[in-house]
Amino acid sequence: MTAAHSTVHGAEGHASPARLLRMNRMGLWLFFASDALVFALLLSARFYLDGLHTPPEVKQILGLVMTSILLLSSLTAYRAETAIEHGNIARGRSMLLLTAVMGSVFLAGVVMEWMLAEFSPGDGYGTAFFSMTGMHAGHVASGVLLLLMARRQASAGKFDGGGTRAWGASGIVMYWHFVDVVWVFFYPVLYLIH
Amino acid sequence: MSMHGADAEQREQSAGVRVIAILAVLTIIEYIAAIAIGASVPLLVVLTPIALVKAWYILKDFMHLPRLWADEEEAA
Amino acid sequence: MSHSILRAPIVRGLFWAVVGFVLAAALVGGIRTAMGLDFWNTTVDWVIAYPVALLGWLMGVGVWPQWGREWLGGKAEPYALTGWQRYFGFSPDHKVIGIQYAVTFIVLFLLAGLAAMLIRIELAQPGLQLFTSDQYNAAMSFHGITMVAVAVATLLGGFGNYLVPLMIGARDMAFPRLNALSYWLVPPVAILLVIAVGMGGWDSGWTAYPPLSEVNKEGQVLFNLAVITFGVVSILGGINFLVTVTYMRAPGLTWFRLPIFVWGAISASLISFFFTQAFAAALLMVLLDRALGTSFFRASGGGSALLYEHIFWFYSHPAVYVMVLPGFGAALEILSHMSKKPLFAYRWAAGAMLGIVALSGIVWAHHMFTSGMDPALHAPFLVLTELISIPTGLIFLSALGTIWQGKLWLQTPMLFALAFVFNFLLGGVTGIYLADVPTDLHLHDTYFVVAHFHYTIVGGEIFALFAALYYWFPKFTGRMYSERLGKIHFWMMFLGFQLTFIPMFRVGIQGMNRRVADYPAAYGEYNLFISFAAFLLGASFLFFTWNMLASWFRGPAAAANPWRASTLEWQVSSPPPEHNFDEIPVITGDPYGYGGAGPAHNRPLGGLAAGSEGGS
Ligand SMILES: [Cu+2]
Repeated sequence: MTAAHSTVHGAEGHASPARLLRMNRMGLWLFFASDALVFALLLSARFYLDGLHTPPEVKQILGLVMTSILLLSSLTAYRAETAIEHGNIARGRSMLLLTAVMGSVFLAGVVMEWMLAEFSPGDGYGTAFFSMTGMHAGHVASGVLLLLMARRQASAGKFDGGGTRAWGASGIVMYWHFVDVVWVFFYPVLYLIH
Repeated sequence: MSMHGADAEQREQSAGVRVIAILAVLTIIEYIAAIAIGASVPLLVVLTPIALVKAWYILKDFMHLPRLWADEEEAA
Repeated sequence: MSHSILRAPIVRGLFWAVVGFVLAAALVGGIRTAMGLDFWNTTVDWVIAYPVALLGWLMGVGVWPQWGREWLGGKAEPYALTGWQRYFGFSPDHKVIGIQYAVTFIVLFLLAGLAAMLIRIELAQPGLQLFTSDQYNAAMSFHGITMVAVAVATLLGGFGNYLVPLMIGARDMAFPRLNALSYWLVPPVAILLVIAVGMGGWDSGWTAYPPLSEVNKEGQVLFNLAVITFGVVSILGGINFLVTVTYMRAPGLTWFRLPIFVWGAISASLISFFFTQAFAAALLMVLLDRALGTSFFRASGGGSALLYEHIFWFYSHPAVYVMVLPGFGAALEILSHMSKKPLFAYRWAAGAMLGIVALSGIVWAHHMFTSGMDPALHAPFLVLTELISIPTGLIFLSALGTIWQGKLWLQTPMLFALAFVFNFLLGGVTGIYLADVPTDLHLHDTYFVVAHFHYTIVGGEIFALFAALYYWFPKFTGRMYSERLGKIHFWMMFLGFQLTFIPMFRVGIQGMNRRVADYPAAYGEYNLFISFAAFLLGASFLFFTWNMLASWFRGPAAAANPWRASTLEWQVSSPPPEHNFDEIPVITGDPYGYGGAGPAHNRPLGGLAAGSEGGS
């Protein structure tokens, strides 16, 4: 996820930093497109298996709270990115940490939801619910790890000066937003439709 | 090197707050719509465009989708 | 000595893989015991411990020192191994990675070919001789998935990685370390499949249809994990190619000046980065059903096995084109250079490849005419499928137009490329009967299908693969192969192939079922013949292997450009220098400038192109 170009091999010595940034960006977006398809398949499986049915036992308040936390964490992630891009590493570090904390709270919410669930993974809705939230939570968990890595890199001075040097942080924040976009679709499909 | 303009940073930060406010409002509308609308199809008709708009805002403003085809490299 | 072996990347990788597996399995076992369950459950343990082991493997093999340290703000080490040892580590060099892919998959090809020989021994007579039904299923399944992997990855992973940067005038791929990571995910795939066979195999073929794949032996779990891993290889590789070609073309090398092989690689990459997840997702769902008790495909829980077929074929039809498109590219490339004529209808051929990409995503249900899906879907999928014959026909015409009145130089690569054209015609025409619902209802799941897809994949792609192998062998190794052994290999393989698969069309029409160890005695004579022909086909690879090994170690040194070809990879030494080009070339014309003022592709480097060999 971090700068995928090699500084060791030096084979792309002829590419400018701006060119490398574009390459990294395109690679990351292609990855998003590719990953999005997995989520899209799970989402269509939900309709295929259980249509629009949502059992009344679904915890609506918990779902809304978790959704809000995740959306809010996108704001802090964004703030981290803009800060680092402008060379404001200190603020970037604290915002990355805050985002990771909110992500962890979201994960705790998922665990709680799984334990409270009054439907089994064996029926149509349960199959969709557990696999979709599970796949998404896996991405959130990896996102939290990546955010912490970005913070560590920020402390080590990797993003000093901002600009194109901020790509490592920027890419991770983009991943975080991507996971958020997935939830924008999963939330209504799992909780709201009926 | 990068523009250290605290102004520019401040401007971008408040743009982020604007986006999150829109997302919050849309989420509340979604939630209320799910309670208020009983029939399946009208609910879908309401929820689908809301989700698309929310996703679009995140893609455009948070993930900087337009940077993919922008000619200028910002602060290179 | 023993000290340095212990420090070898592969040994370290294996060590950390085992450590990861044992730790994770112990943890799972501990939790399970606390919950009052058995300490060991093969399915659950493999599903959880394998990813940990995989991580350990990757880190040990070189990701940690060469990359991972940077993730934590540290400094990465450069890749240190040189000489022959550089092929056994986490090398970021695309040429090393290309050879790693090619050699690994050719070894797997020979292994899976051996499984095919065993299958033909069993099928030589009705009744059971060599195998039990179960062992037959395991051999058939191993042959199937391994050959699918070989077909997907040898040309694109091996030749694509080696050649695309050279052909576009770049010094490496866009993401060299990601490239190395993709390759080092391959050995775990092979290891998993071999362990699965050791555990008694799995009996659901390479397609892994539920409900069977949800209730059969645990070998199935390892199969699923292997294929999911392989999916990641495919996706990461595809992304890397797309970014490389988009951003790293040499100055003046516009999209329509790209050699056609690069177009093949781009089209295949488009498919592999956008469709592969479907196969992985389907197999993940099977794992969830098995390990977690969800019911994606279990009818008892409201699931649907038909859903699997839809998801599976959504990838697995396009996968055919991941295999064949680089084959088209390689064959057209060779036909042009060895006829000393520009590629006929170049733009149409490139466009046809993109057309195939577009159509490939909307035809999958032609595999499902007998599955019980809604009959209303039959007609649209029939029509869409047959539309594909338009772009494939264009590519075929491009091949014919290229050799038309050309001065054919019938060296081994050219023979294979010509055979590709012939075989693919037969494969394409017989495909029509399977796309047509009325005939497919009769032919489905018979040897007609087996013969058809072997004509497209083996007759098409694998023949193109061998064309490519002989054609670029001097570039890869700096040595010349033996033309005599190459021609023996070709004629044995060509004849063996035709004699094996043409009779299969016949027994298929007569109704002989595929994927079964036994068959009615009436098919006996044909099958005996098929088996002997298959042994001829198999024996041809002895000559191939001998030729490759002997030539690589002791062959005569190859010139920089033995074929006097016009594309960029031939304008540098054989093998190319470490960073390919001392100076990035500037491109002023199209890649097939035969018959004009001279190949424009190489003008800036023309001096190096002088080397040539006397042709026949
Ligand atoms: Cu197909």
